[in-house]
Amino acid sequence: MKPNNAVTPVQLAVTIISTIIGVSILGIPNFVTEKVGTAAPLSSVLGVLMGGFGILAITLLGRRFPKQTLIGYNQEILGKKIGNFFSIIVILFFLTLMGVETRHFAEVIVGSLLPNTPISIAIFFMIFLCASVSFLSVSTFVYIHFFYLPFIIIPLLIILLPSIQNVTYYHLLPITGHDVSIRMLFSGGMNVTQAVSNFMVIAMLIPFMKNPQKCVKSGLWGYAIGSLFFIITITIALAVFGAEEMKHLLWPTLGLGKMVRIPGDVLSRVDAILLIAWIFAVFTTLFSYYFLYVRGVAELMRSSRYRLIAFLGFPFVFMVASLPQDIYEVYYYVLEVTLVGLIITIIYPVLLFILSIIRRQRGITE
Amino acid sequence: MKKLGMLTIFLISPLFLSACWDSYELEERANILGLAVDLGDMNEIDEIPKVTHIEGETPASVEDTIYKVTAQIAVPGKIKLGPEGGTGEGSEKTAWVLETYGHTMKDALANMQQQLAEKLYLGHLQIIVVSEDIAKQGIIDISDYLRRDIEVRRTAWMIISEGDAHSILKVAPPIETVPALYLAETLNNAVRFGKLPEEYLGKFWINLSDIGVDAILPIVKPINNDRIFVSGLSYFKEEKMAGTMLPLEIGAYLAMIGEAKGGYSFMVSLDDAVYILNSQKRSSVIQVDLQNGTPTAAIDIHIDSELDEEINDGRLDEKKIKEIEKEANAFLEKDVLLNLIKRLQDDQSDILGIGARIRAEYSDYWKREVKTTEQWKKIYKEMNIKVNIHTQIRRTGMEWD
Amino acid sequence: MSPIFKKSPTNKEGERFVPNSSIIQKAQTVYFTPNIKYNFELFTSILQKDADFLSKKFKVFGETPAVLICLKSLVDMEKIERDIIKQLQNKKHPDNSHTPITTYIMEDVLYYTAVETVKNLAAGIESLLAGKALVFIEGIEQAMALDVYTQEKRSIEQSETERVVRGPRDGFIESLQTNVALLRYRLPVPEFRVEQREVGTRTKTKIAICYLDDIVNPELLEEVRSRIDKIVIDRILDAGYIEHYIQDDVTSPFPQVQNSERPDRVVGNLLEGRVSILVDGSPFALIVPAIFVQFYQTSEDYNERWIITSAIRIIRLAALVFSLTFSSFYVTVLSFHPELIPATFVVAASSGRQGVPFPVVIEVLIMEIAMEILREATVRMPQQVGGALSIVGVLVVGQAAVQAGFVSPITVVIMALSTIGSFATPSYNVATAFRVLRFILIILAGTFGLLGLAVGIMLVLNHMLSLRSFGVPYMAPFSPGNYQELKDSFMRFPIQWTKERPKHLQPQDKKRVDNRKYNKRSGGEGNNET
Repeated sequence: MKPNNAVTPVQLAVTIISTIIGVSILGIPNFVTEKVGTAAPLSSVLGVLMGGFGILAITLLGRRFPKQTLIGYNQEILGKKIGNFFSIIVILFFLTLMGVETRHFAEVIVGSLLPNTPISIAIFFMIFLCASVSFLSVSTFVYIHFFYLPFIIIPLLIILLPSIQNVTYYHLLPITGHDVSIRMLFSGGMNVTQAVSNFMVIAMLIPFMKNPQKCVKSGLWGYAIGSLFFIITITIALAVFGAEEMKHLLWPTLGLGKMVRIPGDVLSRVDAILLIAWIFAVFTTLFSYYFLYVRGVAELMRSSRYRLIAFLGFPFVFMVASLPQDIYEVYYYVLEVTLVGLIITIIYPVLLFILSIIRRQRGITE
Repeated sequence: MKKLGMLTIFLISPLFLSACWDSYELEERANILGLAVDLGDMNEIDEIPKVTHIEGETPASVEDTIYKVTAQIAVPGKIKLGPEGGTGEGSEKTAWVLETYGHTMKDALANMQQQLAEKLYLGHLQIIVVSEDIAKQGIIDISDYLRRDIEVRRTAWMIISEGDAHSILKVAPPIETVPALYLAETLNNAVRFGKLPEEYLGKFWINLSDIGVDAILPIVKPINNDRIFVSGLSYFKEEKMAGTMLPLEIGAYLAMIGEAKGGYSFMVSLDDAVYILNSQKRSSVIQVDLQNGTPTAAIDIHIDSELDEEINDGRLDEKKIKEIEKEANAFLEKDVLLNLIKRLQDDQSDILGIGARIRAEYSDYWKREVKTTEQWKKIYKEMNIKVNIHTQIRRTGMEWD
Repeated sequence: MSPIFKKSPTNKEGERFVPNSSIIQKAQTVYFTPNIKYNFELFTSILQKDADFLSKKFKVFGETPAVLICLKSLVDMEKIERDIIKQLQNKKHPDNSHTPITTYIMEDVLYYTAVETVKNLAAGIESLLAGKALVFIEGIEQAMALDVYTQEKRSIEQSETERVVRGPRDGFIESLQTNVALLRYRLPVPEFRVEQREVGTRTKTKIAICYLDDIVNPELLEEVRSRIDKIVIDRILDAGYIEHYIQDDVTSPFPQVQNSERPDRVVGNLLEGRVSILVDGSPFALIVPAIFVQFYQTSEDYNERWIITSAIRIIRLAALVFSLTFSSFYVTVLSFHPELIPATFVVAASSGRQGVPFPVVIEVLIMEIAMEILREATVRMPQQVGGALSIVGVLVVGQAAVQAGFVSPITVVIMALSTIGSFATPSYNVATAFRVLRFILIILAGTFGLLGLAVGIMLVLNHMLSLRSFGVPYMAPFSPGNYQELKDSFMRFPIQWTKERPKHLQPQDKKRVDNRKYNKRSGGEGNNET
């Protein structure tokens, strides 16, 4: 009998969606618009397409090596030593990324909810949430993603859909922007790619699927839906605020929440709902990073002391999160780290996949 | 490990309880519901408190501006819960009106904070009244603080007062509520009745920022010291107030931007008879076009209306209705709309967003010919704007003739 | 990958050491002799102090001396007099018989089914304690043990904890035999199994593992058996003891085993593929595995119309969420983020708080604790006093506290809502879990505002999502999602539409009713008629 805690294709897709929707959804419309103005929707579509290579490579690798995780086929393709070296780099990158994004999260919390609370409290809580979950079973990880997804998406839609009535059409035209060169278009798109290409954790999940052959389709679906939310958010924020006002807004999506009025006046500000949903979204994203770290390290060390590994990662992430001095520095770090991240999340898997084809390697199938 | 984690939470939480950094009870907050900003008179005040600055260290442009900021704070305990509560007084006692001076908004509010036991709290700010003088000088400086503050809602109203702004906040309706709430309610309902565009703070800022669009703000004046009268709409040129519209022109403006909810009534006279039509539903299409390198705009308006009153007339019939419609069209187009557009063009205030539409649809032209906003204002002033209006009377009320 | 239904492999296998009674141990080697006086004294030396020790001397067939001993608290005296002593005294021993006297008695004299012979003292004492009467006959070196066990039991009544408006009125009682009978009565199929075990080194409690042989997953059954066999304890006083030993996570506040007093509910669960454990002496049956949704469902749900039931279930779920989060949300909003609620309400609320000396957190905590005290007091009180107590409680806490300016009236309303919310949950144990967690949430919310509240809720949710009951995910139909099971979770679709058994239990027989089988049978009947 098949164990019933195997990961299903739908769960894989859901994991990708909730991993993708994360910290950056609040600020991303600003970043893209700053660069390309009204071309932001077009630019973000380009960015999503660029990120598509990464997800394609990861899932194809997963299909090629259906019994191994990222760590496993790294060793298989690159040899044990080099493979492990790259695995460590990937793990370190995600741990750093987690630190930076935790700080980004804390910055929003302090900036918009609790101006006088020390920022380390918000950082501490978020890492604590991630580290306190049991990493023993893959199914728990997937269940958590599955459960939170509606609580992320529904509030997002509650903000986005009523915002449509505030849309002004001339904010969206011309769709190629004013004076935007192709290079700028891609550079703006790159910001979106940076935000949505954090799906590498699925490489740790695919071997636990009932049927790993199905991972490509569900991976692409998950990526498409997740990044669609980014495109929609960017488009609606642009259509409501216009390129000029957007430049004034640090977190435009939150600004949308501040403009929406809900009939009935139960809650007079909807942005709090958005913020709670966003805290969920941040948790699922950072949890994915941490999962990759814990399971990756455990596999490298051939250990199953997940709790210990989880608590050892805590100080490192906390330290990285405490590095930036002010909000501008936070954004500098976020952009830099995710830019380097593109090499790891997109270029690296693509190269790995090409290498495995050249070397005609295939994982053990049954 | 889990137990350890739980244990840490339990151990840490009592420590945290003693330091709830952001916890302010309701009675510890000075809940500002309304703000009024006037230009301060140098002669009236002897000195501005030095709370945020030291004399002579700030640029002269800031040093010379003095804002008089009036805040209306809800007094806790005055409005009782439940039906039997209340003291039977009007709204004069429910709010506390404070005045301070400062060189900037934050400066003034910092001065105010210096005088108060409670923490100033803008989370429920309903209404910001700005005096006409400031609006004519430019409104960006005031906006900046409100924009940065995390508590201010984008659904608050910003309004311009005829005369002193603080007099608006001193209006005290004989209803048991905080006056600012009543004022905000007046404006919100005006939107529901189709009397005002939904131009609250968030929208105002968007229009202020957009290239090729100018902003509008409602103008109010106090009546009898217990209510306000929405006396018109001010239109801006960039950040400066450029002129005002009459209430009927607000209706015309709403019709031009196609605000669906109709609300305004207008008189149509045919020979001796006078008819009052009430617009029920409005829709419009603003079409911009480029003809031989010069931009033109055509505004197509449909108004569904109801005949509410007729004076000095015998009978209504199909033919008469058509005549009234024709006359209404002529009246609205010639006497109201074209006049208004002419005035807007003269004042270089592009509140219909024609510039933004041209910029969106003919971005090449904009890039080539217009480039700057100043240039656009010049083009706009000379531009040909056509208006086409169709009024239809759908119903005539409960009377058959 | 770990096998399903198993506990996570962190548990150390408990070492098994069963301490035995020293008396029994010693008596193991003491054998009866033909001398009844000697035999009798063996017992009196041990049991002479016991008030319920009873002995009766009489003559078998009017000639051979004999003695009957028993513990009169356990036996049916009438049965002994009528069916044993009277028979033995009145019958005559046929002289021509060559059969030994005991065999003759057992085969011809007594028309009694439960008779056996015992030879040593240990067995004798154990049979006495099991409610048997021992008969010694002069000249015979063994005793006849006659089962005359009777037990005081109450009649079958409606269960107090799971009342229904519409549905069967019988509930389990303390007697295991009766409870099994109640199940058998509803399940007259040969696949229904009742496996008996004995747990508790001193109480020797009988427990029964009930399941349907062709539905239940064998792995699940094996896991249940092995967890029960691993129990090492001196006493089982109620089903709760078993529950503590077989649950997956001891540290969790959430119940992972369902209990019920209702036979119809147990049967319903057996038919889904679950296993039920009955414990002698407890009117509660345990049902495993249990998932979260079961705790806000009642057996009545299936009797009423589905639309109404669905609405009620949603209300129950909302009440549960309310009871967990409402008071902490109130704290957050009032002392951290008043901008979340309409301005008119804030103005009114601040009037209500006028003169209240404490911050909202403290105010709410005091009220919550007062509520808990009140609740605890009324639960334990006899009903007559309870009524008076709740009046005093309501007056003191509600009216006087507000008038004294001790708490604000809105706080009282919020408190009442969240407390009533927890009473709307059918399962007492889940409601209690949420009530306890509520305190943690209030403290978190009172310290860190919305962030603390969100973090608290996530800690609870993450815990619930990691929880397993016999390997089945606790939040089963929600996550991992299963459309078929969602039909009977926070909604209840018409029974005709829910044809499949819950997938997470992996039953052998996946369909409740197999359409093909059913059609074939009805078709066959049709043929017979023609």
